[in-house]
Amino acid sequence: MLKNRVALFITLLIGFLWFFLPARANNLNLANGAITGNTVTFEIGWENAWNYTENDGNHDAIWIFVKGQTASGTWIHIDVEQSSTLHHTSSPLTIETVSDGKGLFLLLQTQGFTNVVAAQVSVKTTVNLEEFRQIKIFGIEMVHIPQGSFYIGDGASVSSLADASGNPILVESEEEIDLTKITIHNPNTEFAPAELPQLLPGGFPKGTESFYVMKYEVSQLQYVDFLNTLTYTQQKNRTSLLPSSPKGTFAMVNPYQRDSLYRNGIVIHEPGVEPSKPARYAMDYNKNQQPNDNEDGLHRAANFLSWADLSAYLDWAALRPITELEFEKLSRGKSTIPVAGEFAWGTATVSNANNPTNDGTVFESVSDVPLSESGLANHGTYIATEGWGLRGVLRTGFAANESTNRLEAGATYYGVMEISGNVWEQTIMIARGGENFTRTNGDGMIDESGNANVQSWCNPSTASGVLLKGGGWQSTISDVGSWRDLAISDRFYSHLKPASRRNSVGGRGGR
Amino acid sequence: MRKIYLIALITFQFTAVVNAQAHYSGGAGGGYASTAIGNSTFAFQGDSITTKAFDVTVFPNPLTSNDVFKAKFTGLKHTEKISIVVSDMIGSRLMVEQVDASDEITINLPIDRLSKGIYLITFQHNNHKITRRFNYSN
Repeated sequence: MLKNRVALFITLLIGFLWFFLPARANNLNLANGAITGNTVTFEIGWENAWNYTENDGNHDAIWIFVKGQTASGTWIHIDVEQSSTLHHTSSPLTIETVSDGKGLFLLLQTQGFTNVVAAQVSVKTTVNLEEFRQIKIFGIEMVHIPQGSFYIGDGASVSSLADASGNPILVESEEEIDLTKITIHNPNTEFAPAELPQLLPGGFPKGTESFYVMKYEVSQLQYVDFLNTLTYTQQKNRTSLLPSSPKGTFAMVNPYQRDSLYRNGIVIHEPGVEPSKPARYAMDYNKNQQPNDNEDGLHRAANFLSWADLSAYLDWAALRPITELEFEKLSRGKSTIPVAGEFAWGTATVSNANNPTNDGTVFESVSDVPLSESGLANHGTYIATEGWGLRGVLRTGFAANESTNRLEAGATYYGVMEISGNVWEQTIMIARGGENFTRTNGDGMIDESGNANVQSWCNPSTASGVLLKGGGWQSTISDVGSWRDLAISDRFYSHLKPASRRNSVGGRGGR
Repeated sequence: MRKIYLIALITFQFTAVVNAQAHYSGGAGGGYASTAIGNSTFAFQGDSITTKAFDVTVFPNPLTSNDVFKAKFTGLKHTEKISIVVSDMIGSRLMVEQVDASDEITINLPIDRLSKGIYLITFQHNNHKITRRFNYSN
């Protein structure tokens, strides 16, 4: 009998540990790169990788792409071979190639979730890598959004999309949509919402086909690495202050309010010289002159990104913007009946993340705990004696820990983080020219001015056709049907074109 | 009784998989990383660029089965161990070994497992790693 009890205890303990095994981090890391001829090898590791596709779930993946610095100092995108048999990886990963050869995806071959530790990867490129001064490999964690129909609109949010009766609409295919049958429900009375055109063409990504989306918002370190591959002229257009500004200058902030960082720590580390020597950028939020140290908020979401900045980053990374329809799909999930005023986590209540812990470090999180049925998000709460509380961005993935559920992590149905709050997402609208957007991906190369140059994308200068979604760190929340920036169907700012850098706007991309 | 334990265990595991649309766990760091190879003039102690705390040269290179393969180090602390991993170009590990740190060491390659080609040898000393290529012809 005693034996049986011991066995029962051990069994339950194993089951408990299996279910609640601490998964410490995401901690995507690439290391030990080496090149030979056309081949680059490296090690990759990340935690909390998952693949639930055989149980009607989805999976994550890492988007890998390669850049090379030529002898003249210019960085170019390096294509990889399109045949998957020419690339190799060790267990537990498998490789998924893409038709344009701009990079490849690494994902779990096996079902379940695990921490990937130092898996070996070998990628064959289309050029001899030994001719470059330097090769750099980049990895971005993405989430796969499966094929399937879904609802847009929630029947309540400001300027949300609806049928003639004001109800949500089921999107079932990628075919063109007659927009005369779609209405703008509960229209914004302060600013006239963007008028819908007659037709949404078949080429506009509607979200019923599968696609990848970045699991997190573009981080500040991510933007720094991007800046460090640009020419002086390109850098000049992708930052707020001249690349020739003194060492330690915060590069993205409003030039007229240089002390208002809103937790952005991107600095000029080595000033550039116009026109030929680009600056070197780094993170130094704590201003201790030690670049990229453990208190510089490396993984905080990048704020102060205009549409021109975000679209340039996405073109450079061979990704693309996501549409407002895809935004609702990746948040709500396939065929899920909408909840009026719902946020990314599927309920209409939110708890504010306002009290950072381990501030600036890779462990940056908050001490706030979400209330029952509420998700945790970084948004604005005005307190008369304290002002707006936390005035700025938090680490991407700050709310998720080893045992969080969807609400606690503030995650969408598919496991995408910070869709509600932190920074506003920049999506492609079905109006103001955005309807002409197609799913063309960036080719890895931006133009000489530092702008995206993909034909169907919204104009970098005017930002016409771009819609801010999901709210940011300063967004306050009122009743359902009123001010509710974080609600996934809210289109309050459809009148606004994000052509300027704002302290609460960033974004992410897809493919 | 045993059946009940088995069912309990399977239920735990099954529940974890079947109930999951996605995985909502997370922790430190971020979902982004990069690493550089080559003549980087700008290395940070972050997770963006691998930094070097010691250096190593392997010789002779190319080498044959008749040669004695050696590694010469600078910047090592002799009180520590060095981990050595030899792998082929598709990432298969052919040798994993730990040796005492010394300015020069002899590497006993698994000759019987090598065929003509290019291999990678990675040295790890504390938290720092360096990878070198070598060309083997038998």
